Amino acid sequence: MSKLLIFIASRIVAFVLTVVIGVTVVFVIPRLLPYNPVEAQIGFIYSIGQFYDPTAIESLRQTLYELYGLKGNPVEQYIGVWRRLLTLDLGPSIMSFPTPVATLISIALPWTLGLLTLSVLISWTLGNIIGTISSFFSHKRFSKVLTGMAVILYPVPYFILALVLMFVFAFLIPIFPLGGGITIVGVGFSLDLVLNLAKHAALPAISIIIPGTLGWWFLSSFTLTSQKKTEDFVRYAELKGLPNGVVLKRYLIRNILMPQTTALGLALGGIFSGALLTEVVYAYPGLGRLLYQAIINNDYNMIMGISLLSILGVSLATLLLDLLYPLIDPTVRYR
Amino acid sequence: MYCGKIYGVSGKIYMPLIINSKRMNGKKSYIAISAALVLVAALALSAVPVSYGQLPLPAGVPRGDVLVIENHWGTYANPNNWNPIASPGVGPASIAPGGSGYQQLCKAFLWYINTSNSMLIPWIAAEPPIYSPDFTSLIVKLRDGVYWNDGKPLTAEDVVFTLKYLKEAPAPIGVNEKASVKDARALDRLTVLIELLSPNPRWHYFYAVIIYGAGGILPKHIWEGKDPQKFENNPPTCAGPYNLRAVDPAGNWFLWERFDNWWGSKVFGVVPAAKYVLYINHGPDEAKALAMTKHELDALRTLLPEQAELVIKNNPYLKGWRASAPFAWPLDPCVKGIAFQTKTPPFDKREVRWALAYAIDYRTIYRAFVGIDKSTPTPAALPVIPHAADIETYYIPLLDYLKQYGYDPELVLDIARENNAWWVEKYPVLGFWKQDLAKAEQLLTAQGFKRGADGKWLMPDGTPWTIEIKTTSGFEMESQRIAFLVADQWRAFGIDVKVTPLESGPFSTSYSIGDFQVGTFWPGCSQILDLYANWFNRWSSKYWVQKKGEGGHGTGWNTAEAPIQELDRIVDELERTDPGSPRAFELYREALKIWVRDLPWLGFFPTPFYTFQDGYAWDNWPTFPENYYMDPVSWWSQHLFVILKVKPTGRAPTKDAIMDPKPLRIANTPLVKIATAAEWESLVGRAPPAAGVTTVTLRETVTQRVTELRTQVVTQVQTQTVTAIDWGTLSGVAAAVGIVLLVVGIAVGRALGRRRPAQ
Repeated sequence: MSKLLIFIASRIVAFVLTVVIGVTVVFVIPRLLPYNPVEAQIGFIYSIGQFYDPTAIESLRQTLYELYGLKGNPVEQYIGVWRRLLTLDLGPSIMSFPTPVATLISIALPWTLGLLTLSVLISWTLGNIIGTISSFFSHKRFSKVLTGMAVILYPVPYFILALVLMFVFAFLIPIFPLGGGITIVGVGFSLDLVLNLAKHAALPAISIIIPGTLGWWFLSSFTLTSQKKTEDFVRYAELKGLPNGVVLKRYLIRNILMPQTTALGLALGGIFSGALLTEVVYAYPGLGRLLYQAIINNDYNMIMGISLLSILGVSLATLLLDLLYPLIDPTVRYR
Repeated sequence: MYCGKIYGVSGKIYMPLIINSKRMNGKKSYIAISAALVLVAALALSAVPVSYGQLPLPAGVPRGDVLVIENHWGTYANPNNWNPIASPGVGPASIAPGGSGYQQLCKAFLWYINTSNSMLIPWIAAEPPIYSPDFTSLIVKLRDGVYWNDGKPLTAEDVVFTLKYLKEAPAPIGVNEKASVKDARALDRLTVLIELLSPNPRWHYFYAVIIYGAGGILPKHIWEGKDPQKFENNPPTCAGPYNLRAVDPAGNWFLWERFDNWWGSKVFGVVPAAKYVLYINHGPDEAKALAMTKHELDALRTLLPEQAELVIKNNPYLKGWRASAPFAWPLDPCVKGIAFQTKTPPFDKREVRWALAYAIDYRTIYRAFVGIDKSTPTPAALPVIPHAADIETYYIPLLDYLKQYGYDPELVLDIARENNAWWVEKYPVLGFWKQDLAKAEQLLTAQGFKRGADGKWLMPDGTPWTIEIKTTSGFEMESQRIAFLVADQWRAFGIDVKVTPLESGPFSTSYSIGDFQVGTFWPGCSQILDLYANWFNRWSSKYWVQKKGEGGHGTGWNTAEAPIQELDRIVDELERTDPGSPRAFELYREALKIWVRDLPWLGFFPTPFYTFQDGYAWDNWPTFPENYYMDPVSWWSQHLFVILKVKPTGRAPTKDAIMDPKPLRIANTPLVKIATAAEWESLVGRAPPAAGVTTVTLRETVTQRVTELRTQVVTQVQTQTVTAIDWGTLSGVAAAVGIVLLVVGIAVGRALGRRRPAQ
């Protein structure tokens, strides 16, 4: 019992340390950039030629330093960040001042969760099935074709694929919209609404699913299966005369599922940072696009908010996997 | 409409997969099943009924009823906040003044300035503001018959409320009102008297649309008692011809519906043709170009040359600044080029700046900006956008003076003529400083520069001369092209040049704090003849704020090595001069001569903008020269006048669009009226101070203002010491936290490690 407690405690300490280090890094890095949100805003006002009283600009500058929480030395600012985080207050967004960061994240989060949870699950499922089958039947032509496709697709930057998909399926064959999250007016919750949402999510999702399925998940399950199928217990099962399906399902898929489930957990934890480029290319209103805007506008509070969510997502996923692993995998059960 | 295409193509896609599946046995059919599922889902989605293409419109609305304009700010993080005052500045920070259509269709502006002729368009105000003879007060007369779209009249009470509400709101809201307004009161239902803290004949520019971000009147009955920071103003109460109909919860589009009971329809007799106006962000440039090719976007801001080419080649109905090529609008309000940090040696010497100017081959730069459609930039050697009126007021009268500095009015005339530039026949005077390498060499040598053994320039102290040019990255890419072209030419002249592209944030920061040597910044913005309106006030040292240990804010003259007394005098006098008077223009010409002598920055031209307008569904766009009633700029508030003028072509189906709308006829007036003492007395009901006393008051006020500024300088320095980030401390904290974490981590690890062997 005490060993179990120590095991749990050590994992929780690791989790807390990860979060503390993560927050510290996210605090320091934006402040090291040659960028100051207040001066950038003033510079922007100059550059668009808005008419301002010259004395008013100076008072604007001073007020903004205060409102954005940029007064005080870095230690005071760092303490301020922790004080706010511990009271679950992420502060106001600088780029959308004075809207609270939490409000903006709560608007963007459902879009990202919807898009990425589904596409990660679909690509994980398809990738693993196809990868395992291809590896098992590696001498067949379809396996060679799929492996070739995976090798080609894996290194293709996914935003290039996103642009190609947009050109083909939103312009040449206009099945899907060019971008956006929803284009329906005056309709309550209905099938039309759901279909409209799905239609907008389709291309972004496909641009994640294709390289995901035929990229990482395919290649990893292919490799894992290749390795497992040369092991003695598989060879024994084959020699015993078990049908291919049984060998595949009971001897191979189950064995490769463990590492793949770990990777899935981490991938699901990672969705809290959004799919940055996909969301930018398709004007999809998720967390990735929000993070991108926050970085180019040096919205310290927003960068902190989204990063914290991402850090928590990955660390919690790791913690849960660590804690659950002994329960589901007899080979690593803590003794 | 798409069925044929869909089935045809999808057939091609899934047939090979089915063939494959036949080769496999039943257990191996996962791929075929998965692929089939994806395709079935795609086909099901493609069957979703839409009104037109992919545009968000109410069911049954035909394409011809809707005008589609680009939301150029992109996805809004919070599409529900329509508070136009809480966020400082403009841009993606705030939905209300941005690309949502609010400032074009809804906001209540007192005046607009017609940028194509520098005249005032009184809108909710009935006429130009009337200033007291000493410019310490002004009267605003409102138009009779103006209503908010909820039926309440828009009166002097709303104007007074707006000014007082903003003045009393916590900063940064209302910084202009706090700095300038002493009091405001209604003289009658439609007349407002505004008293100012100091004389200012241009106070009304805060409430007149010049380009962007002008103040609007707030409806008192909506805003009274509301928290100015937290009130979301959703949906906004408009005074324009459209009301907000629907908002994309994802923040990309905003749909406005025509308000048939609009006050303007009664007062001016006009009804806009479009039943709906949609502001939409389709995504990156590629998506916008595809949308315009598909006629799903009627007006956009600009595109990079490659995307512009795609639209030009594929949309036969395309219009731009002209009805046919060349399309690009050549009169953007900012002269783009390079700026020097004139407090940093060696750029603090005007001779060095001029030497660098003479080392530039302007013809090469100009030719590089000729577009595939023969669009050409309009040369602008002065920091003044060369509209016709500006050429006549500034460029032609100063021609002889400019020639003393090597200005060649024929430098690019042949290139411009080849490409049919708009100015070439009527104003063949727009040129630039001619390249003169011998003069550049002579100026540098006189300053102690010399060439090394390798022919490269050495600084007066013998060290190699390297210039860093900070430029844009990911936005305003034309400026980046300028940086690389200039760098090549300076390198050829023997100077090492490094180009540093920066994203908008670091770029704007460098500009604001003056952290640069040379940068492709644009302090030379002007859109109307009264140059003061665009930062000319910052040409006076009384408005500079120097920062301790830094070069000072990099806003053009603010970086100058020392106050220039002649400029200070000119700005002082301008602040007491009728902005439309001949004396004002004389003063501007004097100031421009000083600018030429000192050359604190070097503008080349306003970079051409492909402000495309699609003539497929809508016509009567403003096009030069035959129908140039307004600049074709869809992101400015003045685009309202374009929206009131466009007509359906009949090519797209219509239901509620007005096929032949009545044209809007509205007088353009001078920028201000200055009352005589007697007129002012009759307007306000009391005598203004006697003339002699007025002068004394003015001087006192100006002195007082300078004193206040000095106080502010001290405050700034003190504050700056506090706000400056102490990287030593920061690194120390980071290191300390890291070490603590490391120690804790090792301790935990060891504790666990010690237990493990026992297992």
